[in-house]
Amino acid sequence: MIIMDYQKIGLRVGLEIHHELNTNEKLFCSCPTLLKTKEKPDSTIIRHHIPVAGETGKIDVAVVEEIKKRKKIIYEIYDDCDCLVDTDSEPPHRPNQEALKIALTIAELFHCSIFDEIQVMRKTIVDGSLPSGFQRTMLIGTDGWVETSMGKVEIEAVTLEEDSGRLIRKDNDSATFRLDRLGTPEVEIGTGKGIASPEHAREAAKAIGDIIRSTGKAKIREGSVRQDVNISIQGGDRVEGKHVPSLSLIPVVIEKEIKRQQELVKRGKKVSRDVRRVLPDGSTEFLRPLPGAARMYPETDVIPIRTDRLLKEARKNLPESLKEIIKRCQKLGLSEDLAKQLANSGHMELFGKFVKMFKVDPVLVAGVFVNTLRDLERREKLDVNQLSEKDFGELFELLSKGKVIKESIGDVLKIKLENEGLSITNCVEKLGLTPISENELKRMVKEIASKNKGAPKGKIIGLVMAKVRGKADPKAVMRIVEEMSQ
Amino acid sequence: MYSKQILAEIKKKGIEIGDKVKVTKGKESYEGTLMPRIELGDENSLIVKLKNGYNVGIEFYKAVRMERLGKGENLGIIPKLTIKRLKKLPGVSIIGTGGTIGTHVDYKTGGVFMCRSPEEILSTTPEIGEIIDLKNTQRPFTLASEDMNYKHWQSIAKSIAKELNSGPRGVIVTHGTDILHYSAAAISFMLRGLSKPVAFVGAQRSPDRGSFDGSMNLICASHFAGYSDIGEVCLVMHGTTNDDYCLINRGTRVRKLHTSRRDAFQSVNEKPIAKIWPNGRMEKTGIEYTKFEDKKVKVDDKWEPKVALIKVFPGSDPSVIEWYLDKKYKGLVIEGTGLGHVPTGQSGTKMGDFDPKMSWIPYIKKAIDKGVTVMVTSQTIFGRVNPYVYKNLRLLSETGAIHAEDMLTETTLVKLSWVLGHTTKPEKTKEMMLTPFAREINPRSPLDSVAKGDGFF
Repeated sequence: MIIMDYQKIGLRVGLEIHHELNTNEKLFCSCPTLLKTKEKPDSTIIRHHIPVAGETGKIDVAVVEEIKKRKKIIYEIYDDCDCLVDTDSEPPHRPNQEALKIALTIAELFHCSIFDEIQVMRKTIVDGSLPSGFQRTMLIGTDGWVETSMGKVEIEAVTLEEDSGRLIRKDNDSATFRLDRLGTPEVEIGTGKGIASPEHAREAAKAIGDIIRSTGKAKIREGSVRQDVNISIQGGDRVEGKHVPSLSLIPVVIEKEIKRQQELVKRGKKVSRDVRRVLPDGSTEFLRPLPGAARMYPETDVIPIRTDRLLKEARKNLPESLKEIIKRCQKLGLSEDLAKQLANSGHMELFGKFVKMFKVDPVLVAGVFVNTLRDLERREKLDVNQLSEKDFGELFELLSKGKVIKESIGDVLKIKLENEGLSITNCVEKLGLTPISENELKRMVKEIASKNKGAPKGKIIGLVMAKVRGKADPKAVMRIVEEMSQ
Repeated sequence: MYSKQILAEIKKKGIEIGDKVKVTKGKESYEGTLMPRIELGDENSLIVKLKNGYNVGIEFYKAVRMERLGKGENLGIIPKLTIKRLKKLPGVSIIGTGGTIGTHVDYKTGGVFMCRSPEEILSTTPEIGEIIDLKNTQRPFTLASEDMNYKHWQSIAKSIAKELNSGPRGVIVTHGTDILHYSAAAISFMLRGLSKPVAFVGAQRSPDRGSFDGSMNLICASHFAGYSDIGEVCLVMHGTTNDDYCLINRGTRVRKLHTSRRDAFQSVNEKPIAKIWPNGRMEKTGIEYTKFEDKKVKVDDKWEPKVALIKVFPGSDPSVIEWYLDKKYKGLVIEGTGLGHVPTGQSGTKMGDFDPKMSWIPYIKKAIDKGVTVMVTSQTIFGRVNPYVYKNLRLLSETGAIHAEDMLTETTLVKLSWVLGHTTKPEKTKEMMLTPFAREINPRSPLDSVAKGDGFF
C-alpha cells in the first residue's frame, strides 16, 4: 500500500534552484553572457583531465586505469563570448561587481545572514564541464527564509557561482561541451526545513523564483533556470532528482519518488543514494551515485571580498515586491494578469525604460514582451533571446513615430530572428511595411470607391484593407471610408 | 596572518588554528573549523570553514564571542605516493626545484605549499612509473623561479651531472616557468660534453586541478628522457592549447612568450627539435641535434655575475650605463630596437629636438674602453640583428659593440656571464660570444623557423 500521509512517512524535501543572472559580463571575465551566436563554433580545443589526488593523498587504482584510456574532452569555443579565462588559460579576473550586488540583493530578500567577507572557493567537478576542473563558487548568505501559504520555508544557503559548459555530445571516447554559457553568473538557492508536501514544494519553488526575478536581473533564456529536488522518506534514503524542467512537474517527481522508495522498502530492498535524471513524465532514471561532500578549497587567485560597501548599495536599491510591481503596472493601464505575466517575463526593466523613452501605449509594450514573444517562441519555434535591447528600442521608436503599425510587430520580429544581421529598420523595409501616408490612403479609398460605386461601406473597407494590409491602421481606413461616404 | 587582536583572543581561549569553533555575533552564530588567514584580505576577519565546505570571513570585534568546540581534522597533509619501480624500464632521475609544477594546494586550508619531494610532484602523474624507472630524486632547493640566480643554476648543473654520471640515461628537472628559459640556457652552457637528454619541465596551471598541464608535460618529458636519441638540454612543454603533444625545444633557443597559456614556451629563430605525444610517439622536424651517447658529462660553471641587461626605448637615457660602470660591471647586453639600434641623434634632418647628450654612442664607447663587453640584441624577439644596414647601426658597431647574431636576449645574457667567467680578454670574449657552444647561434636563417600552426602564432 502506498501511503501519502507526508508527515507519517517522514517526507523530507529540499530544493536547489539555480538561476542565471542577467549581467552584461561573465562572473570572472569581461566576456558577454551570450548563447551560441552562430551555427558552428569558431574553434574547438581538446583536453584530458587528470584525476586529482583525494584528500588522503591516495590515488585510486581504478581511476588510474580509467585515465589511461585518455578520454577526450572537447570544448566548442565561440570567439565573441569565450576567452582565455574560460579555457583555463588565464587566471580569473576580479569578480563581477554587478553579479555580487545582485546576489547580495537576493540574499537580503531571503532575509539571510550575510558574511562580512566572501571567499571564492574551488569546487572540484570531475565531469569535464568546466575546463579548469573546478567550479568557482561563493557563499553569500545563510539562515534565511521565504514566506509561503504554509508558513516559512528555510533558505539554507544563497551562493553565487559560475555556470558550467553545456554538454552537447557524449560517447565512449569523448564528451563535447559548448563553452558559451560557461562563466555566466548564477545564484543557487538551497532550501532547508519547512517543505511539508509535494504541492508545497512547487509553491516554494515558485516563491523563490518570483523573488529572484523581482530583482529584474534574472536571465530568461533556454536553460537559465535549473531545479533539482532532494527527496527522502523514513526507511528510504536521499535521492536527488536532477533538472526538473517545470514547476508543475515538481510535485509529480516527488510523488513518483515516494512511491518508488516505498515499493523498494516493501520488497526489502535498500534505497541507494543516487542522482536520478527526471524524465518528461516526472518519473526518474538512474544517473549516478550521489557524490560525497564536494571537495572545496579556496580560489587563491581571487582575493577575499568585503561585503559592506556592496551590501549598503544593494540595501539602498532593493527591488519592488511583485505586489508593488503589479500595482504600478495597473496604474499604466495594464490588467492584473498582464502585469503579472510581464513581471515574470524578465523584461520588466526594459518595459519601464521604453514606456518612459517613447510615446507608445504601455499595454502595447507589455503585449510585445508577453504575448508576441511567446507566440514567436511557441508557434514559430524561434529563439527570442537573440533579440537585444537595441532591437526592442528600434522597434518601439519606429512604432512611436508611426513608421510601423502595431499589427506588423510579430512579422517584423520574425524576419529579424530569421535574418541575422538585419536591423529592425531593415526588416520593416524588407517587408514593405512602411506605413502609407494619410493623403495616399485617402487617394486609394477614393479610387476604390469610384470603381465600386454603390457598394456598401464594409466592402469598400475590405477592398482597401486587402491592398494595404500591414501598412495602414485598420481604424484609419474605417475612419476615412466613413468620412468620404458622408 | 590574523591581527594581533584576534591572535590574542585565540591564545586566551586556548584555541588553535584548525580547531572546531563556534563564533557568535549578535543573533547569528556559526560553527566550523578555524582556518589560517591567507595573506590577502582583511586580517580582522576570522576565516571559518563551515560544514558545507565554504570558507567565510566573520569580522572580529569585542562583541564577537568565540568558543572552542574541539579538535578539528589535521591540516596540511600532502599527498604522498610510493612509486613502483620497474627495473626493466630506462633509468631516469628527477630533480625538483620548485615552481607551480612543484606546488601542492592543501585542500583543507587552500594554502599553497612547495612539495617536499619529487615523489609528491609525481603524485599527480603516477603513469610515469610505467614509462621510466625512477632511479633517483633530488631536491637541491625549492624556489619560485623568479627568485633564482646563477648559484642555483650551478647547483642544478652539479645535480644533473651527478645523476647522469651515475647511470641514468636522462634527467628531468621540474622548475618554475618564469625564468625557465634562462635556466635552460645557462645549464646548456654549464654542461660540457653532454650527450644525454635533460628535460626542463614546468606547468602553467596548478596541480590541484583536473586540468593540470604539468602532468602531460611530465609524461612527454619521461618519454624524451627515457627513450629519445637526443643528447641536449631541452624544454618539454605543451605545443598548443590542446592536451595533444609537447614540443622538444632546444634550451638555448626557447622563450616564454605568453604569461598564462599552457603553450607559452615556443622556439625562436628555429623549429623545435621534435613534437612528442604522451604515448611516446615522436616526430622530428629535421633540424640538427646532438645524438645520444653513453658518456660522462663535465660541469663547467665558472661565472661572472656582474653582467646586466639594458633595454633601449624612445627617449631612453644612456647615462644609466655609467651606473653599471661605477658598479664595476664586466658585461652589458643592450636590447636594442629593430635590427639592433640605439639612439644616436645622427640619423636625419631636424635633429634640433634630439639632445646630443641622449646619444648612446659615447657611453657605449666609454664602457668598451674600460674593457666592458657590450652585446647588442633586439627587442623584436624574432630575427637576427645586423651591424651594417643603417648608419646608426654602423656607428654602434664602430664602438666595438658586438651584435649577437640570431641569439635570444636571455641566452646572450647568460652566455656572456659564462664566457666572462672564463676570460677577461675582450678579443677572446668576442670570439667565444660568436662561437656556438650549445647550438645557440645559427649562421643560417631558415625560412620556416616557427613551427607553423602550432601554439598561438
